Formats: sequence, C-alpha cells, structure tokens
Amino acid sequence: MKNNCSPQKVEPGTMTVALLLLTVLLVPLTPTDAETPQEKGLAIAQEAWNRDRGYGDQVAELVMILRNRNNDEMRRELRIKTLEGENDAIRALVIFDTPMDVRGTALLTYSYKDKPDEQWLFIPSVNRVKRITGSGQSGPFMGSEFAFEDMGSQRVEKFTYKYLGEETLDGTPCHKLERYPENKESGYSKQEAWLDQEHLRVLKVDYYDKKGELLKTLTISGYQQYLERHWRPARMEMVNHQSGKSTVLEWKNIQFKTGLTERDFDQNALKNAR
Amino acid sequence: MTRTLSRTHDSHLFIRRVLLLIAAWVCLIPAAFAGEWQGNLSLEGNVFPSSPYDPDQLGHASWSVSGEAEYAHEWPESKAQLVFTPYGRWDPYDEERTHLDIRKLYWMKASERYELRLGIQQVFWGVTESMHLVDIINQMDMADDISGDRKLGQPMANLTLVNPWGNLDFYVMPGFRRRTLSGEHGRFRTPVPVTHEHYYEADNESMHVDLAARYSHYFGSWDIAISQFSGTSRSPRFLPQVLGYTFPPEGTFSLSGANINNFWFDLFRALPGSKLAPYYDLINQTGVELQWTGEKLVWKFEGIWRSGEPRTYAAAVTGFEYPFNSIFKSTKDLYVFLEYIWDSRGRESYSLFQNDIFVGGRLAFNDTQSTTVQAGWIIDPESGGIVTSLQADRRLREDLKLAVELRMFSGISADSLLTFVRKDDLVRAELTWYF
Repeated sequence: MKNNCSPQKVEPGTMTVALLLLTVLLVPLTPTDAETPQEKGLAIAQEAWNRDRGYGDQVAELVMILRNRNNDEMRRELRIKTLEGENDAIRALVIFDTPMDVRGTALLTYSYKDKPDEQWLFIPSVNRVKRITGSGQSGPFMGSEFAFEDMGSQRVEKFTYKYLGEETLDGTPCHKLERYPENKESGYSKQEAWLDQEHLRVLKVDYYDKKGELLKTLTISGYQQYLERHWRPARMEMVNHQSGKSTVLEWKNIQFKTGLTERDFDQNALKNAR
Repeated sequence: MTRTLSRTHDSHLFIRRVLLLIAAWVCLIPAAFAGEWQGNLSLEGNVFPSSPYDPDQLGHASWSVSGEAEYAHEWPESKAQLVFTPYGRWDPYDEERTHLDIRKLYWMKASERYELRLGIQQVFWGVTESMHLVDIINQMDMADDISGDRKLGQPMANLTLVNPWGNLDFYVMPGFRRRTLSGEHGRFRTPVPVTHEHYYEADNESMHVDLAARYSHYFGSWDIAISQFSGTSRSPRFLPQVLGYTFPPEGTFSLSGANINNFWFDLFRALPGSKLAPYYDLINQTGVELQWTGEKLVWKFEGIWRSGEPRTYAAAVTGFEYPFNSIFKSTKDLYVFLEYIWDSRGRESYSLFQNDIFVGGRLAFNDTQSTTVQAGWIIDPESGGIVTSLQADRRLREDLKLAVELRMFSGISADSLLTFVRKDDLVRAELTWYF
C-alpha cells in the first residue's frame, strides 16, 4: 500500500539544478581580430568564464523574495555550496531552509563540460536520496520567476552566441550579445545580455519566450570583488513582463576557499546537510 | 529442529525502558549545547464511508493529532552532529495508534574516509515507488499509517566506509522493534484481533542482534546497491491462537492469501476469543537495487531473495518514471509511473501484493504554494482488485500545509489478504503547522 507515487513533496520538484548563479557573470574581452559576430560573442563568453575560474570553493546564503502582482511578498531561504573540479566540472549542493515544510531538503548536482548533469535529491521526510533527471529546466525554481535553467550554471557550452555591439547601460559602457540556448527544452528562444566592458560582468539580461516575445528582464547589481578576482553580485531582480510578478535574489555571506572537498559533495554529505 | 514458542515480552519491555531512559537523558542535552529545535504539529480528520467489517471497529469518522520535533547540533570543525527526533500521536479512537517513538537519536562523526553513526536512526534503501522491497532496516509504523512510509527508530551502530569505488555500510542492530498495528477498535486491521503476545524465532527474542551490510555506488547513469541482512524479519507472520493455544510456526496455519478464505479459517474466526499472534522469523535477505537515469526516462529495479520465513522466496519490483514538463503550455510538470510487482510465492504470500501492476501520476503545479496532486493505482490483474490512492498537497501559509487523501479498495476478492480492509475506504485531511 505504499502507493504514494513519489515522496518528493519538495520545492524543487524532481528537476534540475540550482547550481550557481555565480557563472552568470559572462564576460567579454575586447577582441581585436576580425571575427564574425558569432565568434566574437563566444570569445566574450569564454573569456568571462575563464576569468572566474580558480575560485576553488564557494559558500553563500541566498534569500529569494517572491512578489506577485499585488506586491504580496513571500520569502525563501537557501544555502549554496560549490566546488570547482577538474576539466571544468562543478559540484553544487543546495540546502533548502524555508519554507519550513521543505526544510532539510537538499539537492546535489554534478555539472560537466561535455555531458549531462547528474543530480540527487535528499527528501528528509522519508530519509531518501533519489537520483533524478535533469528534465524540467524551463520550470519555475521554487515557484519564483527564476527558471531552473536560470539558476543552473551558465556554462559557455549551453549557448551559441552573437555579438550585437557596444551599448551604454546607465552610463556604463557595455558589450551587448545574444545567446541562444542549445537545449531544446529551454523555455527561451534567445537571451540578450549586457556585460560591462571593463570587468565583463553581466548587468542585465532580457529573456525572450519561444514565440519571440519579451518575457523577463534580469537586473544584476551590487557587484563586489572577492580575492581580488571574482566578482559577485549582491542582488538580482527578475521581472516577468507577461505576468507582472517579480523575484529578488539577495546573496549573503559569500565566502571563498573555505576548504571544502569532494567529500562535502557526495551522497553521504547530502544526507548530513542541515 | 522445532522452535520453542516462548512468549516473553519482557525483553521488549526492557528495550522500551532503555529508550525512554535515553530520551529523558537527551532532553537535558539542549541545556548543555546551543542547538536548534524545529518541528511540526498535525491535526488529522478521517472519514470512512463504509461501516466497518467488525462492529467493534470505529465507525465513520475519527480524528487524531501528531507531532514531531527535531533537535540538531553540529560541530563543524570536527564534522560531528547530534540529532534527536521524538515523535508522538494521540488517537482517541485507537489505543494502538496512540504512541510515542524516538525516530532519531544519534551522534554522527564524518571524516574523509568514513562516517560513524551511533544511536537510533532512520535508514532508507531502495529506488522504486510502489513497494519498498529492499528497505529493511527500520520497522514500519503501520498503526500510524498503513502506507508503511513511516518508520520506527532503530537502535544501531552504523559505519560507512567511503571509497573511490563506492560506499560500504555496516550495521549492527541490537534491539528489535515490533511492527505497530491498528488496535482492536481501529480500522485497517486483521479480521480477528492481534494479541499483545509476540513470538520470535530467535531464542533471545527482541534482544537478538541483527546485522546488515550494503555496497552502493554510481557509474554514470547507473546507481546500484547490493545489500545483505541477517536477523529478525521486520514483517511478522500471524499465528492463529484459539483458547490459549497458539499454532506452531512450522505449520501451514499462518495467515496468507491461500487460507484466508478456507473453511478452517472461517471456523477459527467464529470461535470466541480467537486471536492472531505476530511471529517474527529469523531471515537472511539479499537485496539488489538498480536505477538507470536517462535525460528524461528513469528505469528502476528492486529485487530480494529471502530465506527463513520459513520458505525461501524471491520478489521484485521494476518499472519506469517519465516526466512531461510544462504540460499544456503551463508551468506544471506531470510525472508518470508504471511498475510491476512480483512475488514468487503467489497467493501464499504474506505480502499484500504479488503479481500486481502499479500505475501512478504526480502533477506538480510549481506554484508558490507547491501544490501537488498525486494518483496511484495498484491493480491485481488476476482478481481485478484495485487499490486507489489520491493525494493533494498545498501550502496554505508559510507555516501551514494541507494534505487531502483518498484511499479506496475496490473489487477485492474474498481470498485476497486485502479482504479485511475492503470496508476501510478512507478520506483523510491533515493540516500541519510548522514551527
């Protein structure tokens, strides 16, 4: 009579990652060669990725503030730990603290350069570690305006690119580029991203739905530099133009090189996360 | 060799006393360390549309309250943790459902190559959804919920060796936990009441030390585990007891699908003072868990080979899970499940399910209230019997959650072990407050 067909009564559903937003920081160089807009877009994205490499590990607390059309607010709190591995592999552990009914739920993701993510979900109510598929990328993360694919690592290989030119955003000289998701399951036809020319940090992204209509705008602010190298934002706001809802992500207590090892990112650690 | 039928419950009483003593001691711990308490309280209402099988059982409606708390303290430098989770339910309609249990009370220490846990724990093994065949460490709290998903805390020492080639887990489990079952006045019970006299094959009864080991690892898309358990079975057989005489476990008298509908059982049931006595065999069980996770499709398999109950048998569950994402251009995801349940004993199984098909679905709304709707059917193609389960969950407020559940037993044949719950269709609503 164990007929509950799936005990994961859990926010993230059986979906994807909440890898790191840290890799939202695409960044362009100032490429000088004569290249096609596609090559130039890719070069900028790759340079942004490369500049952020070498952080080792990172831990951070995250507060999500969900707002509906009537400005009613809801809070979600989580913690994210990340570990850089060999060959661009990234391991991430997300621990959910609120809402209280999902407290203790934890999601472990191994993301690779050249193969699909591997994911395990720990469901505390039944003490079960469940391997899950990476499907459902376009679905909302914890009921927010961020989709799972927005939360996941923004790897260079996940998109193809096109350089659109230079543009000034609120007085900051930026590169503007388009990126097209490689994943057929993506909820977007394309994204337009603005990166500041000096540090190659993403300041703004417009998301276009499958019909080509503007769906959401992400605004990233409060960048701070850590270890004299890695730029991290304090605030990310996603506004959904079609629904009128919005979500703010606030990053807190960001720490680097805390001494985490692969053992902090295995299935045993998933069970011990609290 | 004949097994002696001693029936002391002293040893079990002893375990209970020890557990209570530990609990009392542990209540002092929070005073010593700063830790964190959290928990929940639930109010449950039940409606049974049908009159019971036996007029002694509760009528059409009941309610109950339950609560669980968790205290956790972590020593990050030494990677150690202390966890304490007491649980309790009060049910004014069923004295067996009113109970206290220590779900968890353990100290844990982790290092690069091992993890050690001492105390009362909850351990889950398995991959499938409809049945948890391999899962054997913890006893089911069946009085609490017949789904079997709620488990009693199991005292143990558990060592995990973390190797590049997989995890090796060893378990030493002193102190057996008896299965909780609905009381005489509760629903979901056997046709004749169960006695409080429990019988064991082990000479030292519930003090028998059970042993288990498990290897688990993953290779790309594959997650695998192999386990071995040696000790007292978690699932009791039921021996008929008439006029103070208990039938021996060696006979063919234990309650199973093969005899539930025969003349002798009817006669037994008609005799005044007839009871069923739980009998726990010593068993060996080998379990295999396999899961292949594709980009969307998931294939799962669980199989066991069990000896000592008393005959040797095999059982397996296998099936698929598949997601339909963003259905109807919405943000909802639909997960579908299809599984097949097989038991080599067929009708002679003490298990409620053998050669059955499970079909299920789970609809996740992905909204801010985390609304989900689940449906599951276990179908016996031979008899046409169907067990239906529908469940809807929704967060009403940040600290309040509502679950509504419907369970139905239809077309259950008279010779199915499910026959005595066929009047126990249930509509349940549970409101949980988190603090």
